[in-house]
Amino acid sequence: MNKITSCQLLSLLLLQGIWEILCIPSIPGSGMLWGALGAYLVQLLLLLPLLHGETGLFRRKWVGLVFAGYFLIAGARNLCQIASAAPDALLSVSGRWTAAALLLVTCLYTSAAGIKAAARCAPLTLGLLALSVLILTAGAWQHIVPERFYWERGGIREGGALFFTAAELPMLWVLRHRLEGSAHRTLLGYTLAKSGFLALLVFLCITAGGRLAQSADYPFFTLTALSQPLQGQRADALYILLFVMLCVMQITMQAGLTAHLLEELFPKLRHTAPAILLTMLGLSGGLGFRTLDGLTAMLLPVLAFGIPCTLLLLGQLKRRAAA
Amino acid sequence: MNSYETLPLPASLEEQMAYLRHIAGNSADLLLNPVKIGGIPCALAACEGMVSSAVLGQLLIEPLMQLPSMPDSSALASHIRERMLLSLDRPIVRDLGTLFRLLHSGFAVLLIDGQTLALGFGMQGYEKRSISEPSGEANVMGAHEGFIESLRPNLSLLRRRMKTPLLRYEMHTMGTLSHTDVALCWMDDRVPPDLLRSIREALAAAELETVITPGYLQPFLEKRSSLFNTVSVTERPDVLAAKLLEGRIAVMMDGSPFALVVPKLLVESFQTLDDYSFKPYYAAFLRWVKYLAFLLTLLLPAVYVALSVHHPELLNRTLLLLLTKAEADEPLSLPAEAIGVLLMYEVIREAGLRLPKVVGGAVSIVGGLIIGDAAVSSGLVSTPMLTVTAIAVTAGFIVPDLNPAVTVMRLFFIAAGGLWGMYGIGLLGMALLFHLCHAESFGFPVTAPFSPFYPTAMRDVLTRVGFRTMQHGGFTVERFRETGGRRVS
Repeated sequence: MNKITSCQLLSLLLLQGIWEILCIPSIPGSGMLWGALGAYLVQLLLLLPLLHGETGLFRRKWVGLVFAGYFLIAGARNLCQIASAAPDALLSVSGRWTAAALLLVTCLYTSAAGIKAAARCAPLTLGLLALSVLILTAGAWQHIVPERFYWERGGIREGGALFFTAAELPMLWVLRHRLEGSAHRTLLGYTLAKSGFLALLVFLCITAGGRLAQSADYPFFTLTALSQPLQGQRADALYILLFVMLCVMQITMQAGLTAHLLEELFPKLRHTAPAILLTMLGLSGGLGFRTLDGLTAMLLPVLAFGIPCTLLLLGQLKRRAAA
Repeated sequence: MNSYETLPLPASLEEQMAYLRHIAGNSADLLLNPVKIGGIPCALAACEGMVSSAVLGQLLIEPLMQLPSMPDSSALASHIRERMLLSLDRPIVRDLGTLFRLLHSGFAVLLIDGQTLALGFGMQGYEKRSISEPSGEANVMGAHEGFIESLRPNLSLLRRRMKTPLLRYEMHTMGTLSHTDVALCWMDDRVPPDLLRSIREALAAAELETVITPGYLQPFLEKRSSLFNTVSVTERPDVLAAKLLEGRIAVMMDGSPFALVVPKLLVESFQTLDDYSFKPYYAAFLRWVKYLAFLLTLLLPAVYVALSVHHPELLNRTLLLLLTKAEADEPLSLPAEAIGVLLMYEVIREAGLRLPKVVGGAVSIVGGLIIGDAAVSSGLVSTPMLTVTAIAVTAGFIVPDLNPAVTVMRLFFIAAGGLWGMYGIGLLGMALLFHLCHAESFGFPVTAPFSPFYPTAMRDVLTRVGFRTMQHGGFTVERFRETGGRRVS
C-alpha cells in the first residue's frame, strides 16, 4: 500500500544509531571519536557499492529467517540496555520488571500499529531528539573547557568497536525495497548525521563533563545531569521523555521487523507481536547482555555486508554465465 | 425499502387517491383536493406545511384553473408538461415511492385520471431558521453567515462564494425511512477522482433507516476507528469553500447545519479562518500559541502530578516549597485530586450545556465560584492544583476540535503520571503518537505534513506566509497522499 520516504528511513536509521551512541558505556578519550568515525566510514564504503546492485535478498527464505532471528536478538539486547541504563536515566518505576512490563505493554500496541506507523513516528521523535540536543548543548555550553579536548590514542579501539553495534544496517536491507527515493543519499545523510551526533556528544562529554563524565557509566546521562540550561528549573524531565521515546522506538522497530519478516515468510501467521516481545524478554532475561551483545556483534557484519555481497556476486556470475 | 415504493401509479384517479389515503393511513397532513382541470378529473396532492400556500395559489392553481377544455387526459398532461412553466423543478412521477418522497419534500403533485404518471411541482414553503452567525467557529474578520438546517439554502450559500461551474453537487437520498437529502460537494479540477469514488462507495455502504445528524454518516467516512476525528466538521460556508479549494470533499445533509469534510489532517485543528485575515506574523504567533495550548491542555496536569509525586528533585526550590505547603493538608493524593477536579469540571460543563440558557448561567456561577471557592477554603483541593487544572481546561478551549480526545486522554495521562511519573507519561505519549501516526483519512496520513514531512507545507503550518507568496502555491491536499507500492506490515 504505502512506501517509506527517504526522510522516514533516514530517521529510523538515525534513531537506532543514536540509541547505540547514547548507550556507549564509557568514553575513554578523544581517540574514541576518530576510531568511531573511521568505523562509520568503512561501513559507508562497504555499503555504497552493495546498494548499487539488486541482491534479491529476501527471495530466499533462509535469509528472511536469519534476519528475523537477528532482529529478535537485537531487540533482546536492547531490553538489556534499557534495564541497565534505566537507573541513570532517573526512571521512577520501582523494579526493573515493572519498567520492562510497562514498556512491553506499550510496545505491544505500537508494534501492532506496524512499521508504517513507526516510520511516520520516527521523524517526529527525531525532531524532539534534535530539540533535546539543542537544549543539552545550550546547558553544557557554560561548562565547556576546550583545552580538555586534545588528541589522544585512548579510546580508538572502543570507537572502532562501534562498527559492530550498528544494528540499524540490517534494517536498511529490509526496508530498502520499500524506499521511495535514493538509498545512497539516505545512507550518506544517515552516516553524516550520526557522525555529527557522535562528535558532538564526545566533545561535550570530554569538554563539559570532564573526567567525571568520561569515567561514569553511560556518559550521556551523566552529561544530562550536568547540563541544565535554566538556573531555576532542571530540564531532566525532557531527557526522561526522550529516553522513553527512544526505548519504545527501539523495541517497536525490532519487534515490528521480526513480525514483518515472519509474516512475509509464513503468510498464515498473524498477530505475532506478543509472542515476539515475550521471546525478546525471555532472551534478555535468559542470556544476558554480554551473550546477546556478542551474538549481535558477530551477526552484524554477516547480515549487513556478508550475505548481500555474496548474493550480489553470485547473481552477477549467473548473469555472466547466461550471457 | 417499503413495499409500496416500487408500485406503479394506477391509471384510475379513484384508485390513485385510494392508494394515497391507504398508504398514508389517512394522515392528517396529507392534502388531497379533487378538481376538474380542462374538463378532466384531477386531484392536487400536497403535504400540509411543506408547501407555500401563496405560491401554490398564484403559480399553480390559478393558471391550471384557467385552462380551456381538453379532449382527453393525455392532451391535458402533455399541455401542462410542454406549454406551461409552472415551476422550475417539475419531475414526472411514475411510482408511489417517488410520489411520497416528493410530497414530503414540499412538492405539489397533480394526479390526472387515466394517466399512469403524475406531475410534480416544486412549491417548497416550509418554515426554516434564517441564516445567522454560527454558534461555534467564531471569528473576528470573516463572514458572519452560517449554514442552516435546510440543504438548498446551504448549497446556495456555498455557490455564492464559488461562482464557478467547477463546483459540483451530487444529490443522494439516504435513510430507508427518512429519505434524507444528502449532497456531495467538490471542486472538479481539484479533487482526486479515486477519493470521490471512495466516498461514494462509503455512503452507498450506509444502510441506515434514518439520517438525523451528520454523526450518523461520520462512521462510514472514517475507515479506521481513531481517538481523533478523521472527518472535519464545519458550519461556515467560507471555511467549507476554502477546504473544497484544497481538493477536499464535503458531505452536507438536510436537517443539519454541519458539513462533513474529508480528508482531515491534524494540523487543520490548529487553523482558523482568522489566521488568513490577520497579518502573517500575528497569525504565525497565534498558531504557536495553539500548539502550546494543545500541549498544556493535554499534559500540564499530568506533568504537574508526575513531578510533584515522583520527581520533586526536578522542581526548583521555591516551587517545591510552595507545593509542599499547599499539599501538606490535602486529604486526597495528588492524582486523585487532579482527576477529581477535572471530572467535577466536566460535570459542571455538561450541566451548563444541557440546561436551558437561563439556568445554565446559574450553574456556571454555582460551579465556578461557589464550589471552587468552597473546595479551596475547606481544604479539599489545593490552590496550585486548581490553578493548574484551570490553565489546562482554558487552554483546551483554544483547540475545541480536539476537545473530546484531549478530555479523555488527559485523565489517562494524569493516572500514568501519578503511577509511574515521567516514564508513564512518556510511554503513554508514545502510544498516542503511534496511534496518531497510524490514523489515516482515505489514505491521507493525519499527521501530514509533519510526517510524512513536506517542507514546503510548513509555510502554512509552522508559520503563515502572506497571500503574495501563497497565491502561487496551487496547493491541493492530494500532495499529502502517500503513493502506492506494496503494503508495509
